[in-house]
Amino acid sequence: MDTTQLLRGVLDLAVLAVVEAEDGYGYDVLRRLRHGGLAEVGDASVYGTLRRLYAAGALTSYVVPSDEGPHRKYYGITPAGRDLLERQAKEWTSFATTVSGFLPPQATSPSPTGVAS
Amino acid sequence: MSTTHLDPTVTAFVAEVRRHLADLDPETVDELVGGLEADLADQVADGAPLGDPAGYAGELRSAAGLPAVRAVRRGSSLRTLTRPDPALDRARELLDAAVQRAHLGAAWDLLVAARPAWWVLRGWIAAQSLDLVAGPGEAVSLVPSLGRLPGGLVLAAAIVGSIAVGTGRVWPGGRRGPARLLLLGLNAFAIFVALGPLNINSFDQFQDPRSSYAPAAVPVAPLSGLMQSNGRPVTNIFAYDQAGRPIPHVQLVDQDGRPLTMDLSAPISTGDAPASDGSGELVPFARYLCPARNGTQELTNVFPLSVVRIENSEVDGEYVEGCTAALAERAKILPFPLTSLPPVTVPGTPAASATPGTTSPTTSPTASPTAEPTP
Repeated sequence: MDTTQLLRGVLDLAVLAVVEAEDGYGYDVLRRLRHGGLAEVGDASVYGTLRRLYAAGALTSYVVPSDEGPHRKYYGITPAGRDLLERQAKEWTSFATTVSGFLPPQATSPSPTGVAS
Repeated sequence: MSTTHLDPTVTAFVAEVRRHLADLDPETVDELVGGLEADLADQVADGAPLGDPAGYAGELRSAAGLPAVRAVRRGSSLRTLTRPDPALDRARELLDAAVQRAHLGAAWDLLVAARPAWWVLRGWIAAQSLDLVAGPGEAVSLVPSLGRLPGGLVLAAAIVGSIAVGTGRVWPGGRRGPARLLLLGLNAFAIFVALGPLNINSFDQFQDPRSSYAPAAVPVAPLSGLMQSNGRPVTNIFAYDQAGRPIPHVQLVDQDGRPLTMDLSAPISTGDAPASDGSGELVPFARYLCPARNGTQELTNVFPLSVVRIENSEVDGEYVEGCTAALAERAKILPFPLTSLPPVTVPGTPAASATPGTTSPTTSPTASPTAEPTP
């Protein structure tokens, strides 16, 4: 299956969840998504999503100066972002359960852990 | 935003991305690109390559929920013509980047080193082009024969001029601005002429001075590319029925009932033979296939196709575009190559009746379906 198409729909949710777990700057968020198994996620997609969620008020951002390189722009979750995350998580769970209901039993047995690189 | 250890490739990449976002308002761009250098610097430090800035900007834009880039900036095409350097510089950067990305650096260096050879070839092409336009239409030779002009001298001048331009000594208007565009256009034209009208690939076939319309190096043209599996060209088709008897003429259609269409414009064979006027002189000739007719419509799906033989002198040095209606009047039907074939059995049918004389179910030319009028 073309996972990039699937990703497009759930990237907001994944990014919100990662930032909710711990504040992070763009590349940090990208790395955590990839290590978590979303190996194919595009960097510009993640950065763009962070910017959009920030513009929508779901994320807050602050700059952390760096001694060795350019300043890093960290993102944290806002109360509005937490609400959004909760809502989207429910939608996703219900959606995933519905789709799994169509599948033969053995296809759903291995949990979707993905390949952590 | 920047401090000490900035990777110049990252800075350049981000500047390029910014340029691709230039249609957005500056605040939005800052919002999009802010912190990008740090992220990309980490990414590069981890060994991940930077991609194409245009694609990157597009992905950033779409993920951020912003509209795609506006199609054409106002007046951009005219500006590109009068001030082409930014666009050309950018094209060059993209080319260099692509060469780097494809790890073709060594091959590219080799090509650059071979540039003088191109300058010489370009000069030769220029002289030949002049010959094509000005001189009498004849074979392409190494030194152009420019009618009254001394061909060798023109060729030498063209090559010297081409090298002078190549080394950057001479070019009107310098090597920037519209003059650069003109040079690019002329180079493209030279390549086009080399591949097209001059046809360097088929150089040999123009060497035979006798054959102005039937090059000796092209002995046989197959029917619309039909080939036997061993590579022999198919120049006609003869049908035999299941019992092995020749069928005088068959109309062949494809799986949808459309008549097979064949390109008959090329000769099926050429050669030299004693002239038909009895003078005993050897003259070049060519043989062409002629289509059948359904009223005024030409059909190329009736086999075997008739053949007409034309001698060089009849066409007055002109190229022949195949069997014309006038030529078709003298076309001949070829004899079948074999008088009969062994009877065959066909999977999925009752065994073939090999009894001669009985009407085989496969031969009923009178009941042949009417050909579709559409070509």
